[in-house]
Amino acid sequence: MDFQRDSIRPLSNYETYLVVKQLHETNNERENGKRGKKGQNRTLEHCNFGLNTVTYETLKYLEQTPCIEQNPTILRQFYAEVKKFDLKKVELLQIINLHPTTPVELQLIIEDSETRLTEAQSAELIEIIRTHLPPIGGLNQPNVSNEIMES
Amino acid sequence: MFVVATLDDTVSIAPHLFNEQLSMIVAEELDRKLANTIFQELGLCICLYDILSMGDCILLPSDANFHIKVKFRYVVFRPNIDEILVGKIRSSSKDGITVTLGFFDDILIPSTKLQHPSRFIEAEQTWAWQYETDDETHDLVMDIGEEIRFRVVQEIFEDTAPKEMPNNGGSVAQNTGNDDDKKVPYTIIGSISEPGLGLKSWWIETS
Repeated sequence: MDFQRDSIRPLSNYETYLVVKQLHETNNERENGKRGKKGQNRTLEHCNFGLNTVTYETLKYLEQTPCIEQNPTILRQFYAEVKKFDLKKVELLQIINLHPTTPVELQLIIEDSETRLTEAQSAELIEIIRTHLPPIGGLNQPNVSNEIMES
Repeated sequence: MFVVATLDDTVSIAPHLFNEQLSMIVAEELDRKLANTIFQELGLCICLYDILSMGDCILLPSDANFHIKVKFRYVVFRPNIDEILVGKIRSSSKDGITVTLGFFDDILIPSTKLQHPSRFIEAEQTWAWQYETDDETHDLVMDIGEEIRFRVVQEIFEDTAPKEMPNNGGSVAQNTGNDDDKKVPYTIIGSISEPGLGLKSWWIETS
């Protein structure tokens, strides 16, 4: 077994969350179905403990992050708003995954933030993150949350 | 934090599975081999992303299994260097702090990469950041279970495959006794020595 070194592509937490959640749900359905047949618990022979463990733990971890509130529309809108800041792909990915709310956190993510962004631009970026990327529990502002409900 | 990588492998399917849907069986076999394992130089394999292509089923003499060459993509946990991650403190010792993400436990923040200055409280076996304000020094303790933000500084892959033992008569038992320090296949070294890193509760803005 080997992997192609130049095939490695980054995945956002949101995409990983979708994959892992779907797998976890199909696993649960399959196991519930199997238990029904013949009254015996036949699940253990077909159980993939490694997969179940790692998907459950990954799901538990991702459910504590803001990625559960994201969807493709929100991400596309966010990307359109921040294009003007000329951020690198890894920085954008980290912003989407981590959802920084303070200038200190932003400085950790953006390389050379003092030379690339002025204080006003930092503040503007944080405001865009605050309005476009929902925190855990959804956005509080009425107009933006309506948009999400419609999409 | 996560990446998707393209891999190649040959999957063997036993005869009792021949009437099941091929793609499902191949997916299950791949997950059985790879999920929750560390692939050297790649990372921690989580789950199958998709199957790109499957070759023809090949039969070999005196072997009832089908063999299929599969090309597929797998979701792998592999943080970039300098990436910021959030985890929970698992344990502390004089050497540093170990952090866990739930699905991955081998993250070490060595004592040299903690906020400067920090001290180790022997009685409680925890580290504390000696935060200096104008006139006083406060001890900000790093308790177990606290959420901690850190930067990935280094990743270490170690080959844990079984090694061939030299043919020495009676010394085999002695050698296995010396393998007490288990090698960890994938370790991440982190750092919290910058402003914004460390316990999340230290950096909450009070506006």
